[in-house]
Amino acid sequence: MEKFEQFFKENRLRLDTENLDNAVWENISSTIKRQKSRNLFRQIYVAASLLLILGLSTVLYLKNSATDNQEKEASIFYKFSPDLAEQEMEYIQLINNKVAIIKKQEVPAETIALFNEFIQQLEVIDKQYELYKIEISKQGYNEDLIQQIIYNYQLKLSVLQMLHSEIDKINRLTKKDKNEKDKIKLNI
Amino acid sequence: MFKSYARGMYNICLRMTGNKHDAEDILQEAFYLAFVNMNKLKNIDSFGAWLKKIVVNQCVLFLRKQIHFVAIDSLNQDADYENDDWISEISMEVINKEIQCLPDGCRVVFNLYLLENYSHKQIAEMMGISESTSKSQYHRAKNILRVQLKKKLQYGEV
Repeated sequence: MEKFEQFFKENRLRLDTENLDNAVWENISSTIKRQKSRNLFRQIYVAASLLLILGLSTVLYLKNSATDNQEKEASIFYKFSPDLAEQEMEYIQLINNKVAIIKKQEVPAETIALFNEFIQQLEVIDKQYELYKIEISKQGYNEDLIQQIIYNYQLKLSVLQMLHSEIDKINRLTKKDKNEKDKIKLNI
Repeated sequence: MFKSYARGMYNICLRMTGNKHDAEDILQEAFYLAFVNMNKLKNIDSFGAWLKKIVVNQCVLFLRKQIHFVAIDSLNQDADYENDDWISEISMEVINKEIQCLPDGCRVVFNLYLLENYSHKQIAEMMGISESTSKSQYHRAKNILRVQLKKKLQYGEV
């Protein structure tokens, strides 16, 4: 290597003679600090998001577990056949939805007697259902009994459907004549 | 950690660009880039080399747009680099300033090759020039610098 080049190689670090202005370093430093704050904020944001997701997952898990337990308790068939229980839960869900819709409906107070027949039918169906529950707990899995219970669900669903139609019909007929104060909700 | 390297990196930018304003801008960009990419640095012991690479790359990116390399017909092979003991009589401040005053193309090649240890092949790829252009620019830089530093010595401006 030539002496000229060798000199530069040997004195490379001594060549850094210029000082950086304080103002420039302050500018760089503040940019880095800003970025640090952003990174910290991002980390907090990510941590908070993860905590939120974890929290929601836990709540959903607990809710689903609770729902599962409720379903297990609601189903007569669960301990005999999970597949049958699934079919049963669909009926229960349809019935519950229909009941919820009807409970929101209001009818003119003087027409309440028109719905008594439906309400009595529903009471009979519910009593029968309780009897089936006792019977199946005593006898266990029985094909005839299961068919009767399913028929009971179907019957209840169709009575509720008729009741809903009747409420709609009455409300259409009395809509123009009655004000809201005269209306009441059905107790089913 | 960044502050301890700031002066050295600034001097690289200054020698590469030849002016204070561009050197400061590039240094800021390079440090910001290094900071946001700190997670990519595998070994903290190599921080200095890693930071220097980013600084040099930022200089190259900037200078590639600025510099148009001119062809040099012949190399001055007659210069006597063997008897260059006189250079040690010149202060490092003067040498540093003279490097900054070199013409654009040869200044960049001189810095990359002699001071930052890049090969002519690497310089050619980085700057988008041929290897022979890199070599000729380097020889030109050496000749100019040698002449200018000798003048400084003659006039006692050392």
